[in-house]
Order: sequence, then C-alpha cells, then structure tokens
Amino acid sequence: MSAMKRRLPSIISRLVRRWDFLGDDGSVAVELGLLASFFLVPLLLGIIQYGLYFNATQSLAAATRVGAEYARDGTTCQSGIQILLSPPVSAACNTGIQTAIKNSMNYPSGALTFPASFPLTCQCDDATAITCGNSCAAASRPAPNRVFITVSASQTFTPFVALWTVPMTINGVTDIRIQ
Amino acid sequence: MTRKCSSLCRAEDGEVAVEGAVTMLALVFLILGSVQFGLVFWNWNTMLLAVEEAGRYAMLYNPTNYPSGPPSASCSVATPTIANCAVAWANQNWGNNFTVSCTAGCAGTVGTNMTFTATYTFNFINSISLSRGIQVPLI
Repeated sequence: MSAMKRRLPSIISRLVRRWDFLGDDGSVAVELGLLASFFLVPLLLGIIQYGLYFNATQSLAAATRVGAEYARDGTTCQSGIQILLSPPVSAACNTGIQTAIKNSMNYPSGALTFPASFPLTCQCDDATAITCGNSCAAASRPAPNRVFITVSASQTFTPFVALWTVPMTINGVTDIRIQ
Repeated sequence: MTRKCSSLCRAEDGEVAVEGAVTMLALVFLILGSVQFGLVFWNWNTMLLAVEEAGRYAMLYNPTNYPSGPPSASCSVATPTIANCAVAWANQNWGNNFTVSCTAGCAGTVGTNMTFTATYTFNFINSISLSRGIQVPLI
C-alpha cells in the first residue's frame, strides 16, 4: 500500500508531463464544438420551435375568428339562435362554423378538433346573465337578450425538439356576440 | 531598427480598441439584422390582421344581405364589387408596407369561398417575398 502511495505522484506527474507535451492547440475548436453542440444549436432550434408554435397559435386564433364571424353573419346560425333553441346551436350551424374554421387556413382533414357543440351564453341588456332560452322581458329585466357564442378549436402541435415548456396542444378561442 | 520593431511588435497598447472595433462591427450587423427581422415579423403579423379584415368585410357585407353590393359609405372604389371593396378596405387600414388582394373566388358567389392574400417583399441579401392568406365563406 505504501509502495503504491509512493508511486502515485510519479504516475500523475508523468501524465501531466504527457499532457503538457500535447499542448493546448485546438482547445478553442474543442470549446467551440462543445458550446455549439450543447448551447448554440439547441438555442437556435428552440427559437425556431417557439416561432413555429407562436405562428400556429396565431393562425388558429385567426381561424376561430373566421368561424365566429360566420356564426354572427351566417343565416344558418342566426336562424337557430334567434329562437334560443336548446341545444342552442343547430347541427347545420355547428358544421358551418367548423368548415369555415378549417377552410380559412386550409387545415388538412383531421388536423383540428372541435367541441361537440359551440356553447352559447346569454345576458340581458344590463349585462347580467340569464339562462339561454329564457326571455329577459318575461323576467322583468332589460330586453333584448344578448347572445354570445364561444367558438373554439384545438390543434396538436408536434415539436421537433422535446421542450417541456412548449404545450403540445394549441387552443384557439373566440367569443363573439351574435344577438 | 530591429530593436525598435521588436518593441513595437511586443507592444499591446490599443489592443482593446482594435478588438472592440472588430467586435462592434459584428454587433452592428447583429443589431441591424435583429431590426430587420423585427420589421419582417411586424409585417408578418400585420398581414394576418389585414387579410382577416378583408375576410370579415366580405362576410359582413355578404351577397345575401347586400345583394346590390356593399354599402357605398364603406366603399368608394370605381367598381364596387364585394372583392374590390374588401380589398380596398383592408389596404386602406393596413396596407402601408404590403398589398392585399383577392386571389380566389373573387366573383363573390353565395356559397363559395373567397381568398385574400397579403404579399410583402423586403430586401435581405436577396429580395424575399412573404405572403399570408385567409379563406372565408360567402354567406
């Protein structure tokens, strides 16, 4: 054991001498390689990733706004909403909104998922909530009824680098007053 | 002479200034590039708003509710079709750096889709064109 202890410093000093002999040529290249592979390239990929993510989010938000505009202007939706049916949005209106959203940005088939029905919320003219289908005038509250629709869509986002901070699902939501 | 050169060659006065100048050159290019990309992204976002505005106009003043064309108060173009009016509306409000145009379904038939596209061209080494489009149903 003591012999080993005696020999150890000489082994280390020999190793150090060997490394000294090798010198530090190329150390900058090695450092750059490490920096690029562990920091710069992931940073660049992350920036691109977030750019794509925000772009997809914006596009989906714009698409739901087109769907909401369809709900407000389309006769298909308005005819169903005026009489405050329950379920409030007709199947034709639901399909019309979904088609408008999908076509607006040319989303491929199956790329978006929608709720079973776009929900309505209702208010009287003093901005207090009322159950859709009930008349504000009949409840002795300021008429006419205000009707709002929540148009939403979801899209799966597939990142090419697994970053836990990037949500895998993008949601686009637009609320609009339709009556 | 040799002694003078060797002392000059060993001198390190002004080294920081020289390195600073070289680094500043890179930094200035980096800043200019960032500003350029900032402008591009600004326009990229604005283009989406512009085409949305055109689409919203076409959906609001739809041929079903406005069979004789959009109301004259909202449109002052020579040929006030729904496509022309929507494009004029978007360009009037947003089109400072780019142009919005109708690229498909411009006849404005009920039940069809109308497409609006904004195109922005900028110079970055080469000339680059970006475009964004939106398709809206005509009610």
